Amino acid sequence: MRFNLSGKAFTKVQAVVVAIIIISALIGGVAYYVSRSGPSKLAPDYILIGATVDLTGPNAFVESIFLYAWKWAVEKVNEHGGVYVKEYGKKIPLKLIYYDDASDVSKVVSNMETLVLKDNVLCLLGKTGPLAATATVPIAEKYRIPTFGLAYYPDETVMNSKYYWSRPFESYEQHSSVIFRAINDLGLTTNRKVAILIMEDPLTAKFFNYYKNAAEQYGFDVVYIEPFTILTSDYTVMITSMKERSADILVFLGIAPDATTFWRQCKVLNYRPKIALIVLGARTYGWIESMGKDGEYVCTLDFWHPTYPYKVIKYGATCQELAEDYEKDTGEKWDSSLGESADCIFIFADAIEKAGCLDREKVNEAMMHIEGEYLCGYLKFIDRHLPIPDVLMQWQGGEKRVVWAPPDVPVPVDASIVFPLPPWD
Amino acid sequence: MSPSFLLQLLINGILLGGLYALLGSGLSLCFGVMKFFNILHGSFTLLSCYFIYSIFTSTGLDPIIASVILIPAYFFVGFCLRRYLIGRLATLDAVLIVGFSLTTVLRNIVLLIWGARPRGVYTSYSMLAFDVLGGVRISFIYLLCFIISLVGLFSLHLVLKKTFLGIAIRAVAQDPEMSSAFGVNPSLIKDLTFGISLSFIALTGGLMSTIYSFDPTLEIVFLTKAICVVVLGGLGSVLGTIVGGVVLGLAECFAGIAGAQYQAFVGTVIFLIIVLIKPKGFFGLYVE
Repeated sequence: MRFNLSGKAFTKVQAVVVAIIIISALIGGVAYYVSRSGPSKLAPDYILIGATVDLTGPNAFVESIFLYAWKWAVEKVNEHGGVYVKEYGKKIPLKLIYYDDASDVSKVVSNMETLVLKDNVLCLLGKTGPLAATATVPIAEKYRIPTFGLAYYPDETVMNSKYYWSRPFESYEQHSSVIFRAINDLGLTTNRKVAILIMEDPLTAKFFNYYKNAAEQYGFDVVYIEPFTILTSDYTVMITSMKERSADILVFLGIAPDATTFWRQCKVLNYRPKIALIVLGARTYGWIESMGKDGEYVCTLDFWHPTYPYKVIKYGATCQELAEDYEKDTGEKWDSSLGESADCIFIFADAIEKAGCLDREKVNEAMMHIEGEYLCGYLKFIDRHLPIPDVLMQWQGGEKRVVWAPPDVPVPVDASIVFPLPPWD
Repeated sequence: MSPSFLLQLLINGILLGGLYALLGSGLSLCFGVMKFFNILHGSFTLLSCYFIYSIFTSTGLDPIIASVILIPAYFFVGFCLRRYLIGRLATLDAVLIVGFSLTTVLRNIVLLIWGARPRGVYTSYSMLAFDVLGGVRISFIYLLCFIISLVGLFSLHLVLKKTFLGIAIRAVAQDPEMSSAFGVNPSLIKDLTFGISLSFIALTGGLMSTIYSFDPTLEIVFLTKAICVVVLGGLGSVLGTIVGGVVLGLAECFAGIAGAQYQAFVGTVIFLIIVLIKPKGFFGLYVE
């Protein structure tokens, strides 16, 4: 059969081909219009955030707190409908997917691969242990996925990664100088002799020189400085040396079991400095539980406290509420890791909103422009690092009180420092 | 270095050694009779710390009294564990594998119940100290633990030497088949020995909880220290356990003179040297 159109004949096959082309063009045009108009695009049910977390290994204590704060922040975001994604023209709730790694580096890596390849998460929350943290960088690079990991600033491996973002954390310089600046600023009278003991560990070893330099920079005399191995059972030699050198200022950086053993032996050997800073070991409420009244008036450093005035207005999140919820839900006292961990979620949420889509690369780019008030303060990335200042806290009446904050940190000081340390009973 | 300083180190080392000896005693007894290292030793010690912590925080009962109360419970658990699980396993490899599995189970139980936060027990005498000769000071809690350790170990020694049960335990340790020919039930004796071994763990954990703050990662530290003590002193010997504990305690204390970071290193080197010179340890009884 032939059709005659304007004097030219079309076969049936030719007519069908023309029809297919026209229909295809129509479908293509409609599809293009739909894709450009965005809001009608089919949105996913959730935005997936992946995490590998130690729930049964050596860092379980810290990372279980991370997990609580992440879940809390996800809930906060979802209470407000989720994150607005322009590409879909609607708010999409967040969903956290996590696996236990027991701080085993190989498990960390395999968990991350699973999260990226199987679960297809948009971004990742990373680790606290230095080895595990370093192991996560290649994954972030390989899959070009924004990853919030341990602040390992200024480690080169981390610094050179385009996709690895350091969660809110203090800088080594600022951290090491707090005690000396506080003593000067508060006008505390000491003989300015400092004794420093620092645990040998890939993360803390870096503090060795920072503390020494900071002491000298602020006019103190380091009369004793020694590294020690984790779980040292006897500190007699060290304590005797500190006593002999009449160090009025003590800086001890070590984990809780070491800190309690050390402080007990200080009492046994009757060494009482005028001011004692115990970093890490005296950070949690386990300190006061283990040491009772003998743990009172010991100072520690921290970068978050429930009395901080900061809030994430968009999601109605406050520091006080986070601490209260944690205490209510877990039966444990609050921990300073809560604030920075919750902030990781809020920052991801803001980055996704800024990116306007669920493209990893675009979310990663948006991270660079994050700037605003979060639970840890006013945060802004500097070379993919979020420096937040430490403040000086002291155990008073079984509670951690903020006794000094750097002048540029608008944090309320809620108690006067008890100085000098009262004599041992 | 003044004499009083050296005396201080000596006293600290000996007191610490007493605690280490008690830590090693359960392991030594277990190995002496059953010829295997109880991989669960560290886990049960840690679990004991947590039990004492819970009893102390909920009832205010003194941790040392609480650990004495815990002893029969641990004995019962040890007895049942040996009778209904370990005793039924065909090979030592199977015992080890089950031991490792149970370690994981116990660690997760600890995490589930107490979480991962470091815990500690603080009593009115936790930080007491007093002066002795020449400005040397002694920690009351270390001294108390040392005395309790010695009493515990001496009691064990007496039981092993003077009672029918002790003779039976030694007989089974030396030759189970021959002992059965004399009317001893080796399986029952092993069950009882494992129970006694765990009883010592209960006591050790109780004492440890008053001295150290603890978290779920410490199980491996308890286990390795116990192995060190037992190998140094000689497997299966109570006296050897005391000597091994004191040697380790002294080594750790005096190693501090070389530098705080060398304590563990020096302790390990001394351990290796003694093992090289005396493979059976100081008072090894059962290693061929």
